[in-house]
Amino acid sequence: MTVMRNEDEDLKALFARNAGRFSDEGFVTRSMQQIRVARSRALLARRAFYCLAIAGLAAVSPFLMRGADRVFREIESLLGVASRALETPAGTVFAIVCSIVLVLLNRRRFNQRNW
Amino acid sequence: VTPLASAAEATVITLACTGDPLAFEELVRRRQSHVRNFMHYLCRRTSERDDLAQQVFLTAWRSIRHLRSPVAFDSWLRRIMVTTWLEAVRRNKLDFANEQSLAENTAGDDSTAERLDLNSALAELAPPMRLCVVLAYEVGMTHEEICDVTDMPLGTVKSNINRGSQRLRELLSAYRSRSAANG
Repeated sequence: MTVMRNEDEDLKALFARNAGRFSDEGFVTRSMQQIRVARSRALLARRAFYCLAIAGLAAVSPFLMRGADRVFREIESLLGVASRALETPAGTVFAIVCSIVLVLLNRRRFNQRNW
Repeated sequence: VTPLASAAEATVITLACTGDPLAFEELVRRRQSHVRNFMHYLCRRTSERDDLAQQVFLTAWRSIRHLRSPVAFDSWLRRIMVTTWLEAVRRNKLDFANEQSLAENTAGDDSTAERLDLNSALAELAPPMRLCVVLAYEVGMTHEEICDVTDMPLGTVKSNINRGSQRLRELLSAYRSRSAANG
């Protein structure tokens, strides 16, 4: 809490007496002009960024499509290998053991969180 | 006269928060004197004062959409005023060492002798002390509000205000004695 003394009040009154009276029109016009310029610059920068982003995306799209196709093929072959492995008796046992271990680990984590 | 000239303060601020340029222009019109007065005491040069005041309104325009409540507008604007001035000081945009003479500083203003005395006395104070004194006596902020807005510790704010106001009184009294002796 700030306590004002008489001498502080005197200083406050001195500042109040000498507050400047500034004519507003020229200043307001210049300020709003500056704001308009800043707004149009920001708008221009945003549009330029969008244009560049779209152009960049168009330029790299053939590579993206080729990459996506390759990833898809790799995943497909991996899934084929995994499904063939699971069809064998050893693979089935391994999958069951993994599932049990996962269930136990999840239950343990759940109990730890609740305690 | 703009259509919003007679509108309530809260209405104008709320409209400005939605990005209405006319409402913001009305806010600039209503607050320009306050902001320029603050900068006048801190900057000395008329061109610096108006440049920084314009910078305050530009920053306010950019971030007014984030203002949560119209009630908080004035404290939010004060923070922008202080930050703008502090940034200018940090970037050495304000040349305190070579402040112009009193006659040049106030040229064109309707200055009284008392105002000239106050300006030159303030120019004698170190920038942080001047900031605290102006915030306390011109803006009318409490010590706690000054701490909050300047990020200075409470002890530093109190000491700046006490020592600054004491020095200001000494200088003003010396000017008065000198002008009384002169004539």
